[in-house]
Amino acid sequence: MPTTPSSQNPSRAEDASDAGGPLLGRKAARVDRLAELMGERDESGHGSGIWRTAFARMRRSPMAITGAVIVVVFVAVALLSPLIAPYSPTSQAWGDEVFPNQNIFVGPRGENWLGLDNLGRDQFSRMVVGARQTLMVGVVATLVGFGAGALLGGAAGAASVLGGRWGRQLDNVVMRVIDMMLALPTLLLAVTVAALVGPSLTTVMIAVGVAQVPVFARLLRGAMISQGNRDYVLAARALGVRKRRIALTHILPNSLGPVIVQSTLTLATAIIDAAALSYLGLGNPDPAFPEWGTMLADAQRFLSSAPQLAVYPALAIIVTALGFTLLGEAMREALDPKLRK
Amino acid sequence: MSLLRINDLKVHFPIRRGVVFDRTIGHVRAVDGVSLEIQEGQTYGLVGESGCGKTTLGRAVLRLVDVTEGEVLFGGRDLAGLDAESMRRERRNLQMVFQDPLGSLNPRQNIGSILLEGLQTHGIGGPDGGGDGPGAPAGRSERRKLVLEDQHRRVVDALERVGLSSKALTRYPHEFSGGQRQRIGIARALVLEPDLIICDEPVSALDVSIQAQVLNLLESLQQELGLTYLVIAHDLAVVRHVSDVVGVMYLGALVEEASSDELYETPMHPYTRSLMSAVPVPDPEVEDARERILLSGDLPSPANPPSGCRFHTRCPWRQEELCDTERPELRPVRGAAEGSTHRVACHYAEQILAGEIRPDEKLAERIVHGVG
Amino acid sequence: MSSSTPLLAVDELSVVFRGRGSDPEEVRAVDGVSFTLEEGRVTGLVGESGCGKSVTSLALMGLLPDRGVSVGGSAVMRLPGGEADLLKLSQRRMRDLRGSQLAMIFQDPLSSLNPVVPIGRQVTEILRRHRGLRGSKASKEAADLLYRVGIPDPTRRLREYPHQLSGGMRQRALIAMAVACRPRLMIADEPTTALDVTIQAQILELLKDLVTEEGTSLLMITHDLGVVAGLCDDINVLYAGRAVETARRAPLFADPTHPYTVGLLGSIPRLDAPRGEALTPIRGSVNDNIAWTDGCAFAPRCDHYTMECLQGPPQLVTAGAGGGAAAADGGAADRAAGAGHAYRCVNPVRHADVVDRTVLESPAVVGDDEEAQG
Repeated sequence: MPTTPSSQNPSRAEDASDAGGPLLGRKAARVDRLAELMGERDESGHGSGIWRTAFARMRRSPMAITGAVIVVVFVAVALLSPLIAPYSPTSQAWGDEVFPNQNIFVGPRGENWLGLDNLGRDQFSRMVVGARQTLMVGVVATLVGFGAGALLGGAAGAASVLGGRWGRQLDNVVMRVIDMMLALPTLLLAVTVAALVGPSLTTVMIAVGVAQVPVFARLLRGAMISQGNRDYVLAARALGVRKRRIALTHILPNSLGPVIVQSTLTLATAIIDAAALSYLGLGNPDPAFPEWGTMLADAQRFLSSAPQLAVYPALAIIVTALGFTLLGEAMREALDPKLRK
Repeated sequence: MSLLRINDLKVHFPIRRGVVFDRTIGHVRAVDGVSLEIQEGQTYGLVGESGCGKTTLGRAVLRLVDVTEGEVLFGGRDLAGLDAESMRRERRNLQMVFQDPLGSLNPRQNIGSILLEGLQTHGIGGPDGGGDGPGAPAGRSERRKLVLEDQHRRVVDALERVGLSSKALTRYPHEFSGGQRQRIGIARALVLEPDLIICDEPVSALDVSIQAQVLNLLESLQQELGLTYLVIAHDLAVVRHVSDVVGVMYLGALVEEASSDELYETPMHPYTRSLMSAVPVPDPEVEDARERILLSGDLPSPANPPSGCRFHTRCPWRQEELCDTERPELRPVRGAAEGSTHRVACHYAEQILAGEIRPDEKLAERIVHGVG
Repeated sequence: MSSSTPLLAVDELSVVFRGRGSDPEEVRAVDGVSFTLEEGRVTGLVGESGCGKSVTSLALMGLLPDRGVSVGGSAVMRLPGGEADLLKLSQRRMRDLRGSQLAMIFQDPLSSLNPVVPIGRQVTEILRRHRGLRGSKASKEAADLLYRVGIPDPTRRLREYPHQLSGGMRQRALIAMAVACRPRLMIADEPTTALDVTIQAQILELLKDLVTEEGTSLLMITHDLGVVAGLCDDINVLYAGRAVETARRAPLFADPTHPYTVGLLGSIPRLDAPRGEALTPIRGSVNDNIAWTDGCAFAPRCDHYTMECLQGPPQLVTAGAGGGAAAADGGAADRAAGAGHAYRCVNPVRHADVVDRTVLESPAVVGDDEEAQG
């Protein structure tokens, strides 16, 4: 039952006349009670940026955690491979135990955790050392694609948004070139590059990287154009900020989100593409540097008698690629403005 | 004294088509010959429906869109004729407040950096009040410190003026409510101490109870700082509330201009009258008693505007002569009171006001007469 | 008001959204809203963003997602086959009712229409599904419908796609689809917010005509008190998921009682008000509220709140009907006319306060009007 105003107001009138004491006390009590009920609404302190909130969300996502665990294990193995590998990947110490011609192979055992390959080398050591090669190929290829693509796409995007008439023409020319690159199949492009330069790890990295350039370029350009039409860019122009500064401090940082997500996903495809090129014999022919794709190619000859030799590298490629994909997708979701509060 | 004078301003956007290379196949006449004058310390309200070109006009004043033709005289200088760099410097004196408070703030910048940006861009701040010139070589770091302190002081001052505390400086736009974000947008404009602020739909994205806060804030800032406003809005009630002079736009041109009270008391252009009759009033008695002029049809395309008077396709008072052949100019009202600045772009405005010309009931979809 | 049972009686409707994840955070979007809808009358739900008005309409239409939402209370509607609680009907039954008995008009007409299907097909689809009309019969009826909602040249329009129509035309087409099966209840969720004022006036006029001619009951959801004043017969003002004031149109605007209603009215610049009349905004924002269980959710923004406001949820009090608050109020006589006028406030604004708005601005001098009484 609400208190009737008539019984309550006289006391309030008294409070008003008696300035200071009771009125202030009551007011203070009301404010305190209100503050208490509002709880932590008035949290003070530092603001949180987009990446920080995205990170907080990713920590709660099982997809992101799975992906991160796989990626961390993979990177750790790759970096520490000389310490982890129990034997040299090239040592044919057990060469007299394996006879591929007679279908005699050695499976997992205490000494060799994953068994021996067709030349009597320790399969586990080769896998561990191979991780390093794979990581290097993936990272370098992605960096090549990211670097060249971002440069082209960023220039085209900035020119289109801020460059006026000439800018739009420049953007047009750059994008037509990119379209032509996009029209070539990735693998074909890579084979062409490899054929021109000759088979080596560098060839694989460049070939895979170049194939990713149009993807990054289109993505960054699209993001920059859509950001460039946002009101805050207009606001910066109205403020009198110089065009270069607008492009670098306003448009670019806000456009990088999807590109960074894409580079995580590209790492996965780069690893697969690199494995495919190695499998086709375009990779590093030096046996001292085992690579999962090369191992897969070598194992093919013994697929019927020793399928495990193909299964290990194949599984490693799949799991690693999955790890990067999961992480990338989780990042995309966490950064999605529609899902942000 | 007039602070801003716009003479026959035109902004035409080319329509481009083409697979590889674009061809221009026509123009959208977003603003098509507007002249107006804004007095120092006053508020000019520009009202019109979506697609009438009011936003483009505001942006053209700041040269955020390319001016096709005409003059924008700001304190005697023609902004439309300035080169890009001089225009960029000039922007310190003309600022803008945007409709979407969140969209107009960079999500990755904290409030401090948003507010500092303008000061840094224009090199404002420092012991001598700043300026674009390089600092004296002697004691550069000393001077730099003074500049930073002064800039910080200005930023905090602007924040406090809009009713926010300096705690906001380290926070990001998404942590604020809509009204607070709009206050930040206003502070960003204020910190440069401009003479003219163009407010493009400053309250239409805000909740009702917040709109009043922002309108009151704009009003008190004007009183304190002697600002001049160009307020662009679709809501006639808001425009009438804040403006000294109101201009009504239709399809890229001004159709009527008068002081706020005069426009409300004696709207003369048929479009103004129908617009006014369509604005809902939160009072059932007024609503029941009002006459409503419902326009038929929709806004014609600004790429292909009607001949003669742009409004003649929807005008209930349309006449056989002149309306569809000759474009009426914005002219002073004949027989208006002494000192009146009422201007109207209608051939028959006076006759319509006097009741000599009756509306065609067929053209107005229906003129609903009140019951009370 | 007729003495028979209302068309729809919503009683203590509540909608709770549960967050996902390990610590689900509950959001009470609607927190016990009750109102009745009569045939041939327009009922308004008014409030700002986050007050629960849209969620209420979605709950009535059965359009809320199944997962993570719990709906409480009842919404009993008079249907041809007897009364039924809309909240408890099966999905299948609701699908049949939507379109035939219930219809909804959304804010954004472009996203409510299928962009790749011509308007005509979208209208005839409804006629076929709910009224069994086919072929030329259906298209003739569709053209009739479009004509009735004021779309000129309807046969041509039927062949056009949504993007070829203007905003006002699209909203008309949507209304045509809503009224295609002569529903008994129409829910319009901000139907004119995306439109220009001159188009808004056309659409409001159309809705008004439909209600008077067809005897449909219209639930109008809007934030615009001006629209409400022109269109609605009964009005519910919502705040933070609860109705804070309920009244007929005239008493609500003549004698607003809840501080929130008063604040809303004071926040809108009126076209017909003398220029220079100051606005009296509500301070803070809609996020500044407390849980209803702790007290009045509006208290943090209210200039009128007292300690009583913060002790438990305030009840809905009927004005001038023997309630303690009303009886003790000097202005009770004014309100005798306002039957059904109820408010949820322990310290309501009395009429004298509304006239003298300065009282609102400084809570410290609330006692002043006591002198005027004594």
